[in-house]
Amino acid sequence: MTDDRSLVSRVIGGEEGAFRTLIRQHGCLVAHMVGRLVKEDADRQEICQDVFLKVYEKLPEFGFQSKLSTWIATIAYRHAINHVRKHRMQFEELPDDARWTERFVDYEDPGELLEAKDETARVQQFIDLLPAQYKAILTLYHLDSMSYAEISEVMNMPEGTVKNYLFRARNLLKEKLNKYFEKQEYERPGIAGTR
Amino acid sequence: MKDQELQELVERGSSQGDRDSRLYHSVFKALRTETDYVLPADFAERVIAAVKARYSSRDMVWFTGGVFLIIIALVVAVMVTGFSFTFGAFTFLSGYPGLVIFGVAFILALQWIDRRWIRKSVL
Repeated sequence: MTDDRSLVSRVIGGEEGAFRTLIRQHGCLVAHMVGRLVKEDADRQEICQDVFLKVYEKLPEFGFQSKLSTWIATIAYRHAINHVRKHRMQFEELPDDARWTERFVDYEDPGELLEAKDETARVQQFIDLLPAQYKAILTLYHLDSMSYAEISEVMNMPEGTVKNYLFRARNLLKEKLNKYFEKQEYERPGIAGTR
Repeated sequence: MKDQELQELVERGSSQGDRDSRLYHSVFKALRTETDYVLPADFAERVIAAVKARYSSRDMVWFTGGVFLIIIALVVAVMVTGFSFTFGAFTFLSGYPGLVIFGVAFILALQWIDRRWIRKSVL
């Protein structure tokens, strides 16, 4: 992988090829974040493009106080979360009581739940229902292999909160999957009973 | 076993074989699966084109604004001072056509060198 410092100075110097390399190196990171937080396919590419336009504009101000990937992820997160706030979504607020957890675990999206191909697709549908902050943390940790410290920098929250949100998000998904299988076992005992 | 410990165990690839472990295995597998959204193959080219379009339109706005302000300033200055147009001090140049040609050629050469050799700061 190209050295970040040399790549950044080449982009600032106006080298088109260097900017192309930067986009290709960090495209997945941005696509993960935007793809996970933004549901509308038509908006996703526009937001990803806006992220890289902002990266290009602000690159001369980037002083390597953090890794380049962490800085780009921060821009991607802010763009995506702004979009989410404009288009209010189900379970947008963070859970602060047991009733929220119960409501989340019991909630069914009748349109989407019928379409899942397999168990992984089913869990991914559940992930879509989580609050944006949870989805962002899960994505940065599991797909982009970021450390707690890096995620804490991207999301501007203490490391302890990152760990707590990560645990709670995975726990919510497990509980929701459990509830789903329980329902399956009740409705079709022979099929789901193997679990 | 506490749920947190169970998550750590499953993340390391171990399992207790119970229902919760199996559920967590499914959750972790889904979390490691790529999202359905993939950037198009020509995404980098589209971004570069957008950067170029943005900066060229920005330059044009500044240039047009500058020209407009100069014209306004000129008109105001002429109106306020009652300035009348004469060649004034430059009338002496009529005796040195070579100097005028050299001046014009020098400025054009500088412009050419600037465009050809000075590195562009925008893509």
